Amino acid sequence: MPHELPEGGRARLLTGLFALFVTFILGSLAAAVLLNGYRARVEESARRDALVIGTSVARTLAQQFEKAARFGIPLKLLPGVETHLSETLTRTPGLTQIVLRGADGREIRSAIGEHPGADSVSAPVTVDGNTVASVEVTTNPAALATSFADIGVKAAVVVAVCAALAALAAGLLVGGALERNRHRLAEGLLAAVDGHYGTSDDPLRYSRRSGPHGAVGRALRALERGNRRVADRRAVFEAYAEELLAVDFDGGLRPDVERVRREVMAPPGAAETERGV
Amino acid sequence: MTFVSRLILVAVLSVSAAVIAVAAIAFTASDKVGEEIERARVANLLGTLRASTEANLSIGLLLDQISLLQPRIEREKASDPSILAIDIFNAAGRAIYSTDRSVIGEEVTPGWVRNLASEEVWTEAERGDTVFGTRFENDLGVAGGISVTVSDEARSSRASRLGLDLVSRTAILTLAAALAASLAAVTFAYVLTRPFDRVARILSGEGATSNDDGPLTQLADETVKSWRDAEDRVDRGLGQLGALDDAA
Repeated sequence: MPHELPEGGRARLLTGLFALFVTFILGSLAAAVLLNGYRARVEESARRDALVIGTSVARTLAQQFEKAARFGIPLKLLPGVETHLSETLTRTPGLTQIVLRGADGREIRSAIGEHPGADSVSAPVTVDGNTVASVEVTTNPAALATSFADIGVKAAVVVAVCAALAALAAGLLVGGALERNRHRLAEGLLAAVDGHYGTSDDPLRYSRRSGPHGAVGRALRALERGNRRVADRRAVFEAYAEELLAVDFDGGLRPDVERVRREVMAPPGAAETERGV
Repeated sequence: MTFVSRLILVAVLSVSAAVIAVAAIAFTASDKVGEEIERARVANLLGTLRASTEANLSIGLLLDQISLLQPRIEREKASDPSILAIDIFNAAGRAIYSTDRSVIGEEVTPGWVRNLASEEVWTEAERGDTVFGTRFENDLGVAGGISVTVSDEARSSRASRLGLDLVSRTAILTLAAALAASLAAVTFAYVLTRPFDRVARILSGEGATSNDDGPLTQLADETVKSWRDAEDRVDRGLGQLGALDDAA
């Protein structure tokens, strides 16, 4: 009966897909946890810096308004205040809002940025010991951490690239090796099915020490052991047949011994033909 | 190397590489945050110095006539220990005011003059420190520039503090992800190599049957039949040879 090798290539594909999904899923999860935690840590650290910057800006602006107030100019009527506040807001990262409030706490002028405020600091505008106004500066560390804005996309791209490379490596190196072993085992099984068991003198190819390990190695060693057992039995038969022929001086036994030998050594399925079944 | 150990190696390496690469991106981003903080700290000082200089130029004073700038920059330097130097220079690149009085009248770094072409606050790394600068204008255009040299010590210390935090987070996550990847690889390898295991058991005569009807297990069944057939024939042949021997 002619036998064909079973279809291959599946292990390579499955191993590649496994590495792709495992790397992508675990990599994405780890990346998300890492980025969220680290971003919070960076923002927490930037929060203190933003407050220091906000305090410095509030003090500087308060000093500037104090000069105007000393000249007796009402801050409400001071021209260009909003433009000045807007310019300060624009050129100072980390600030989200600057509000000039009167002594009663009402807003006189303000500049509002894009980000919502997180913390605020205030500096009084004092003239002759009286607080005539205050400058309130609102800060947000997220405004300083804009470099984290598109980091999710960058991380996703990096994880996807790693996953693709892992799929390639797993498919070629791991799946490929399994596929080769599978092919080797299938060839060995086909040969055994067709009656090719090797001989007792053949060296053992799949030893536990140097041969393939794991389930593949066990299968190859089991095949080799089975083949070796049959080959040894055949060798015993051959030796007996040769022994008979050696003492068959008149050649009378030879035809019968050769017939029995053909029957024993014939490939499976052919023995019945040999015996005329 | 077994299939499963190879698979674990690839899975662990790829997941670890992904986490470490993401950590590297995160560190670059946090380093930019550090730069942004430095810039924000200096931006206000540059802005007020620029406004003050331009206000004096607009009333007709020449740059070297605005003498209040020298005590002003010295005050600013004294109030912030991270500021190493403040220089105010004209469009020709000659320092007019400086917290280091010995450089007044000297040429400033050529790069600073080139940076006057930019409207924005510029940054340059110099001898391990960072220089932030801006230009100021009069009615005729660019009249000069202001530079603030800031020590990188605070930024480095911040970077190493955050870096240490990132390394510990990365190590823990890499370990967890590698462990999960290993478990997944072991499970996957068990499923994928099960036919080989079944083949081994069929060939060893451990009573396994090819009930999953995979091509390899079918072949294993046929192999066992072939072995039995061959051994039966050897037994029969030995019997026949024995009979011939006895008859002779």
